[in-house]
Amino acid sequence: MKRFFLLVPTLLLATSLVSTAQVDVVKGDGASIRVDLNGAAGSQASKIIENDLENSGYFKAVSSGGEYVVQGNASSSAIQAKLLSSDGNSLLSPSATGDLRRAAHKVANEIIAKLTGKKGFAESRVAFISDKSGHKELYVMDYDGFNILKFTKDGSIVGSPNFSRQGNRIAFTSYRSGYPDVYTLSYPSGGRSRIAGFPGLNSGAAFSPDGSKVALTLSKDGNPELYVMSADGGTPRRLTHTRGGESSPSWSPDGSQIAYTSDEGGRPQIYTISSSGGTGQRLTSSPAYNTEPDWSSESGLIAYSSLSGSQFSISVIDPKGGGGHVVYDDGSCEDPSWAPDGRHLVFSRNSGGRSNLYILDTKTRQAVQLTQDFGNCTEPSWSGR
Amino acid sequence: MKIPSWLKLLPIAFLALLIAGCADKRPTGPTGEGGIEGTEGGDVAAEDAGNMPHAETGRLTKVTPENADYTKFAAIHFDYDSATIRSGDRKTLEEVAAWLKEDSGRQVLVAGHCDKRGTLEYNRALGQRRASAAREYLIKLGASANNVGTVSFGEEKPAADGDSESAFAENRRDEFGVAK
Repeated sequence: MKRFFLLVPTLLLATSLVSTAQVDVVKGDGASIRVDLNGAAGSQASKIIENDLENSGYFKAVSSGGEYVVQGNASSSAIQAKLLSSDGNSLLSPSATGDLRRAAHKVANEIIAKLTGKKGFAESRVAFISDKSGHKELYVMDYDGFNILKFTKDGSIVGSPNFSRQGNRIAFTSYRSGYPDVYTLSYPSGGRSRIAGFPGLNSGAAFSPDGSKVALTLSKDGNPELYVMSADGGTPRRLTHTRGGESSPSWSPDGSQIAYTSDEGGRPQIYTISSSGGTGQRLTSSPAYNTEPDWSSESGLIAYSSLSGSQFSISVIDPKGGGGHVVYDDGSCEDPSWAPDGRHLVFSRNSGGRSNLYILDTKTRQAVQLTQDFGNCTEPSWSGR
Repeated sequence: MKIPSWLKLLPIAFLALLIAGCADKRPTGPTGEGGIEGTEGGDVAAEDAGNMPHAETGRLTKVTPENADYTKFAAIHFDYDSATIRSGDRKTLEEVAAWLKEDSGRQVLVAGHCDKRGTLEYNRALGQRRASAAREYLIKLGASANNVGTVSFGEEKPAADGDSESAFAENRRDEFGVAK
């Protein structure tokens, strides 16, 4: 049971995707690792850390032996661990206090960083939209599906959340005023302010890498175009001038470019434009409908939704060249958002009229279900850390 | 042979005129935003010399998305992934424009909607293009820009349920909201 992605394996068993959801399959050439913490919360903490290590894509958790071993003690409020190599050498002594799940995620990230040199996403979160309450509202959960918290009670329509890379703010669209306006909220305090309430459409805000600015769609000048403005509000600077509509901006890792959707050529395609202005450069040409780009700050790759037949697939393109390719096409999948590691994606998948969130390892192409029985879950945005 | 510097600009000026000329004929294009299907180069297109859409300087004071009565006028409909106004819907737009022009105190909120086949954020923009296209048309027909507002609901408020082609066709629409 502990080798499932989620700690709610019975939910996964209910879906046809279960065959790919089991992480018994070794991910790549992952090293084997055994997590064996003692203490009052030892078994619970061990499971969380094992999950995190396997989800990183670099490790296979084992119950005996193991190239690496994690030992130590866990109580409900503190973890004291030791990472050992198989010959007993101590490599790291990670410790954390506070909430058990948070502490375990922190220890897991330290182990991942030590052994792989890569940034883990064990402590990351996912913002998303659910209509569970009868209205579309903003929620945030831990990346492993735990600790779902509701952040809006607007009773209208909320959409298009975007987590800042610093993980301390979320921008989103809400129809609370009757019109689609852009708001930001402080995470996790929840303090909120409206930063764009111009006539017509205000939507799709995306934070710049340093969090100081947002790119967004406004239609105040008579047509949906891209603008850049301070993340605290103020006067927007117009970026695009087309007869089509521009939407879904996403910043390049260094902030110099912005990827977005435009249908100025007829059907929607992915374009890039300098964040200081200029002319958009078309990045995709087929299939006929590509939307919702998300530019990874870690890998520099752009993920997007692409229409294959009558359903959407998840595709990835390297903006430096090489063309786009589908990475997941089982069911209708939309709106990918990169994990901080630049390897995993979260997206929404509609099956049987229900939308749920899934996490995909773009290297192994394995996807696992993240939400279940929580209304329709859509438009996920992975926090930057 | 020294060419006066202003002469060097002539080709550019000519090009600009050419582009402006092309732009005037744009409304017959199949995918241009605010385009009008089947316009015969007459009244509506010619009046819009610059072809720049009219900015919205403020939200309407008398109609809001929630208090609007959307039943006074018929909805107009769109092709898949298109914001081009159909020639058959011109009559409805003429009715709306005439009603607005009767009394300068009247306001209309154009609400753009999509079928659910697109992605969510793209459809928010597409619904806006549909609303903006009708707003431009109403302004061309003489309605005051200040009396026509827009809102896009993307695919969030379908008029018809289900996955049939007829339901999709019904959902790709603009509705015209007036004060109750």
